Amino acid sequence: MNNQACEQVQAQIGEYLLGGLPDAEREAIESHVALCPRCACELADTRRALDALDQAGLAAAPTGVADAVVAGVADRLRQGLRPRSRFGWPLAVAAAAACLAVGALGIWLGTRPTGRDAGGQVANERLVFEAQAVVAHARSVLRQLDDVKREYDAIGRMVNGGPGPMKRGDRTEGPKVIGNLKGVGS
Amino acid sequence: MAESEGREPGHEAKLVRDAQAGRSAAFAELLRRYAPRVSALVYQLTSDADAARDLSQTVFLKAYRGIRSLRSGASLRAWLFQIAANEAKSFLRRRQREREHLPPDAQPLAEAAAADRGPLDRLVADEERAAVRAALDELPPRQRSVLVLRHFHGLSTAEAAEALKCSANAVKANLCYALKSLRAKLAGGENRE
Repeated sequence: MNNQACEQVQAQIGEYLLGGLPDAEREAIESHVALCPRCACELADTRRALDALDQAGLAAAPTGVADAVVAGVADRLRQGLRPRSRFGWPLAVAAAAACLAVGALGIWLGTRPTGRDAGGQVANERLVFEAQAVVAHARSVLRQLDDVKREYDAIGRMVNGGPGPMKRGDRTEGPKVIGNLKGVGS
Repeated sequence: MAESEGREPGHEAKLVRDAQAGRSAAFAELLRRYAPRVSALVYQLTSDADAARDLSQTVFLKAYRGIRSLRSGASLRAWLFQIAANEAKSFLRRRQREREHLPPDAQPLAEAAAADRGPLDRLVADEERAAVRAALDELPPRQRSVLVLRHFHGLSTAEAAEALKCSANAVKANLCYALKSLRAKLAGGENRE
């Protein structure tokens, strides 16, 4: 048996023993091992190692652990834990930004000189102008909020497997996929 | 568990949809179904009964909070296992850091605490089991995760890759390295005896 064939077989022994190989590859390994004492030895050692794992008392968590998990989680759910809302943190961030912007404008308007000292007409005009600026800014914040929501939905649709409207029951919390757990419950 | 999943995949999908719609009873049913497997996985990855209990609770609470992010048709099992593997990895990292900061005299105490696997296990433990567990503990986290998911939980290469967020080739390679290391460690133990 040549070394390359042995290396290939030995790299696949785990998959072979765990049933992860298609028939053709499985049969190729069996044919090779039947003629190669070194690989047969590797196979037997690996099988023993897996058997030893089975005997190590690790097949399940110690008695009572699973029940404690169920009881503990059920307790927390009874205390009122809720699933995340549809838009999750992006909406919260956008709403917080909008509140901050409006609050900052309010403070600015409240603390600036009123203009009364400079004469009634000019002061009134400035007041109207500034009120219009506040309204325009609020509209801009709302537009940004809408953009964030649209972008978030688009990413959600993309991650969900292609274009198309997000259906009820589809993933609704944003651009997470299995494996991207950032933000899940943290 | 595997059998019940195989018999009623539609029922589980419905439970997931109901849980996503906010029905707590559906989530409670999923919790009952998966608690044994998730706690077993965490135990296999940490060798710590307390961690298995605490981290598994965290897994399910995170799953409850984030269940609406589970794609339609995605594997709930792979998703839960992935959260569990991440939690176990973080726990092992924290434990490693704590041990590094302990004074040298205190290290054996930390080892003893880590080896405390509950009263039942203490009763049935023997040297061989301890050796296998020690060998498993010494594997790098990724190799250990692959071995545990493939061997104890029967995940296919593709499912393990999904749960661990890596490629199928990485799963195959890690399985190969894990078994090689395990074989060497166990053979080393036998030779010493």
